[in-house]
Amino acid sequence: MDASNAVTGSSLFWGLSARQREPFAALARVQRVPEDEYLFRLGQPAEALLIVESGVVELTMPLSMNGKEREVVVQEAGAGETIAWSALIEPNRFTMSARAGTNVELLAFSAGELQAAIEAHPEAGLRIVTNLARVIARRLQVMHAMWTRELQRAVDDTFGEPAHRARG
Amino acid sequence: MALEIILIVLAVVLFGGMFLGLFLSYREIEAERSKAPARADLEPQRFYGWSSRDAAAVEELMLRQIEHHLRREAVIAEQFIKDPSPQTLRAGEHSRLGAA
Repeated sequence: MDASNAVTGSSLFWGLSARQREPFAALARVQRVPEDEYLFRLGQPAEALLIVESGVVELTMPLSMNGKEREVVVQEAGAGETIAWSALIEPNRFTMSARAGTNVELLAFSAGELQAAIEAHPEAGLRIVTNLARVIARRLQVMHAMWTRELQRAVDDTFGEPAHRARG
Repeated sequence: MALEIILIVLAVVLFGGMFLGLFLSYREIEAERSKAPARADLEPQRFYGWSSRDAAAVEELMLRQIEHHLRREAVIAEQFIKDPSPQTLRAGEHSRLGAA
């Protein structure tokens, strides 16, 4: 796999010219993870940012069911998507787990090396940080909307007639 | 005159017996009917009545049901982000986890 081509199609490097992408593509290390194997676990230190090159990564959260803890898939990431951004955000620990939903190929960027490259190439770095903010904001917006919907259901159940029952 | 009195007494006994019989049978039916909702409240048939199946299979079905719910919710959340409004936020909110 050519890391340069893989970087081109990723959301993190969107809007960069080929020349601007070069120093970042040079940092990429290819990782292959077989289906069902975990890429990282909730609570572990996050040391590398990952871009999915091919396959599907399942982001999971632990949920207690019948007294047993099970990993529930709360989001999926496909080709070109950025995961493990906790590597760049303090306290640099994963807040979700990730496992390979299929055989997966990834590009891994050491957090320290990526930060150094961003500082060395500020114009491209600004674009990358903006793209990263977009990825994080998207996750936040989705989770916020989902949380609000569940809160509304809790309000209906606790304080009032649920809308679907009132409509008959 | 005596015959009329006898007929009246017979009619009273007959109708009284019918009334008493119907009253007692309805009381039993009503007692059963009033018990039924209480039993349903105590034993809700959650997850489409999966509780009657094998425990491991039920757990897998519950997991799939939760993930299906989350996927559907994420799709609705994406639609809300594209077009934010109270209506898009509440779209399909009547569909609940595990509801039949």
